[in-house]
Amino acid sequence: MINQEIQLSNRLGLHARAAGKLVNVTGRFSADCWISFNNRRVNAKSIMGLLTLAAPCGATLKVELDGSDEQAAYTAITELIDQRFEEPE
Amino acid sequence: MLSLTGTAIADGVTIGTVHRLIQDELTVQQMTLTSEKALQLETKRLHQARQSAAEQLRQQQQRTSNPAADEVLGMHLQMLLDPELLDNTIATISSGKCNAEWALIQVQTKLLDQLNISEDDYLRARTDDIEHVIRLLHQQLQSDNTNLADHLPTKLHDIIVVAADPSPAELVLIKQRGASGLVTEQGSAYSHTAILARGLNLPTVLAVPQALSILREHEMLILDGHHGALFAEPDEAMQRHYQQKTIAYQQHLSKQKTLGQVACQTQDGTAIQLLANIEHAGDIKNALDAGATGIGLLRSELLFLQEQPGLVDDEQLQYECYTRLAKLMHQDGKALPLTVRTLDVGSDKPLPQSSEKIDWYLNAEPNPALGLRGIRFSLRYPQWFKIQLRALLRASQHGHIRILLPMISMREEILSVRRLIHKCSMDLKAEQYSELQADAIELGAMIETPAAALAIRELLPLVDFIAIGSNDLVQYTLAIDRKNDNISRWYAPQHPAIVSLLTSIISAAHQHKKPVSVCGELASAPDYIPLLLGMGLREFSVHPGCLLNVKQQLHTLDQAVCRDRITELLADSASQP
Repeated sequence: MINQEIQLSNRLGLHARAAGKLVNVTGRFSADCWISFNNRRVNAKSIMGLLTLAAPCGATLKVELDGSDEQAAYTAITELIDQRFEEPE
Repeated sequence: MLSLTGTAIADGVTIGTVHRLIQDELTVQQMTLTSEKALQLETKRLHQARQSAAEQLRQQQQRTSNPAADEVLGMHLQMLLDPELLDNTIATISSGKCNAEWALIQVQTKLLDQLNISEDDYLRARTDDIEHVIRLLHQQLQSDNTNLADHLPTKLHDIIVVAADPSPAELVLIKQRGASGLVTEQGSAYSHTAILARGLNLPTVLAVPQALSILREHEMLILDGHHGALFAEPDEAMQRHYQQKTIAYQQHLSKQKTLGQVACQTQDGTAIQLLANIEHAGDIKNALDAGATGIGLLRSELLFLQEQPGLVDDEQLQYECYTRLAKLMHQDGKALPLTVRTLDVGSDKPLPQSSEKIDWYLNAEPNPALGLRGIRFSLRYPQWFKIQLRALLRASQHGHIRILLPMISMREEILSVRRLIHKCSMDLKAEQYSELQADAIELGAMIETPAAALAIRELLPLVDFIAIGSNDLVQYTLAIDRKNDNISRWYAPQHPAIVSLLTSIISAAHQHKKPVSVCGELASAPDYIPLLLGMGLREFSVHPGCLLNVKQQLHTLDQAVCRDRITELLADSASQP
């Protein structure tokens, strides 16, 4: 079980394409993956769920992972968020 | 003649005849189902609708060659296939004992309620995406209203389509069938429909209230996408005016397409180096595609921010990062210059995140603009500066890397850096990099303080090139913070002090045979480009998105005419009593 916080730094926040990229990453792993923001917790494999978080730039997300490949999933998620979803500014 | 207005979202003007796209209003009724078998049937219908909707989106995605369309359609496909959307709808069917359509409405309402709470306009505009995707499912469920492809005429040439709220998928189809423009009743400038209209160069006016009832089928319509204006049944004068505008717009489009490949020169044939200011690797391709001949400014502190945390004190990671960028700059067997500005931080400009180490040293200062910033910080705390210099020296073996120093105001600063570079390269050679040719690396100074500008002849012999940071230079010279609303209207780069300062820097650089570029916003300001050209500037470093526009403007300018204008301006200000 992993329980960590991570901050969004891309300009547009967790917008649709960013959420799509995140789902592409979480979908590769078997671990259950949950993301919470503003007291709401959603399945990080659901793009619609992530969108409804409406997390803006600077938001701190709580990431919970549970499963045999949780460590690899966490590394992949932080990499994507730290690279600002590969977006131009 | 009748005129209407809406939201302007994409440039371009067009004249065409109206085709109104009337789609059946979705009417969903709640059906209460009692038998287990009936509920299972609803679940099955939902699965089928989901599959055929996905198939439609996939086909459209395959047919489009536009990267923006490909991306947005791919994202809608992801939303359509969202596992939670499916699970929640199935759960609602069985708990509410209702039909699939009704269950979808419940699920959609819940999703939209959550999004509408958001205060962020951009994120709130994603309600459009959710509505468009769920509408696609409804259309599949109601078999008599299958899909847009069947509604829409196969040829839409010279036709302006008027629709309520087209989804990105529908927009792509409208464009593919040759429509010359689009008017919608709903939609925000942040919607993906708006983003795609821009990406596909389709002249569009959004959010024209009641457009479907006001505009009549087959009537003539002028669409001015730049101003968000519509003119129905225009008079002759208006038609003539817009026919010319339409032709000019078409020429502009075809020019932009070829402009990337054309060499940058002025009308009289003076060659200009067009460079790009970038913040990360993704910009390099855009810059080279638009015809940039090098990177005039890479803001390394922004690179640190975007890459892995810890980059700032990890030499190996920085080395790999610069090497990757330098390799991207190889084109046709040539290594184009990559100018890396060393860490440019100050107490008003800290490194967000991941950099507590540096922020600790940046104590609050009473006057940060005149404080410990740029090269002053790097020389005061050389532990990070050395890491960056060593990484740059090593990476310079893989490409044409140039080092640019921010906030230089005196000779001693450049001499100190030269000594540090020498020390770092000796150390590197002694370690394992005996082949290093580090002394050959080009070193440049940002000219952004009045002190550096006025003492330019002292500094030039010590550097290989200079880059004028016009934003700071203008602020410091006029003593005006352009972000301060009380005084920002006096932020005037046309001030004689600025014109004469820039002119003297550029001519001093020419006398010393040292390359000089301008990398602030003045280099892409349409009213300032002729002045810079007149001052003798031959290197413009601008944001990648501005490259084509700057190039296009330079093509129309005559170097001698611009030079005469500067001579006049300087003579005028000298002769004032």
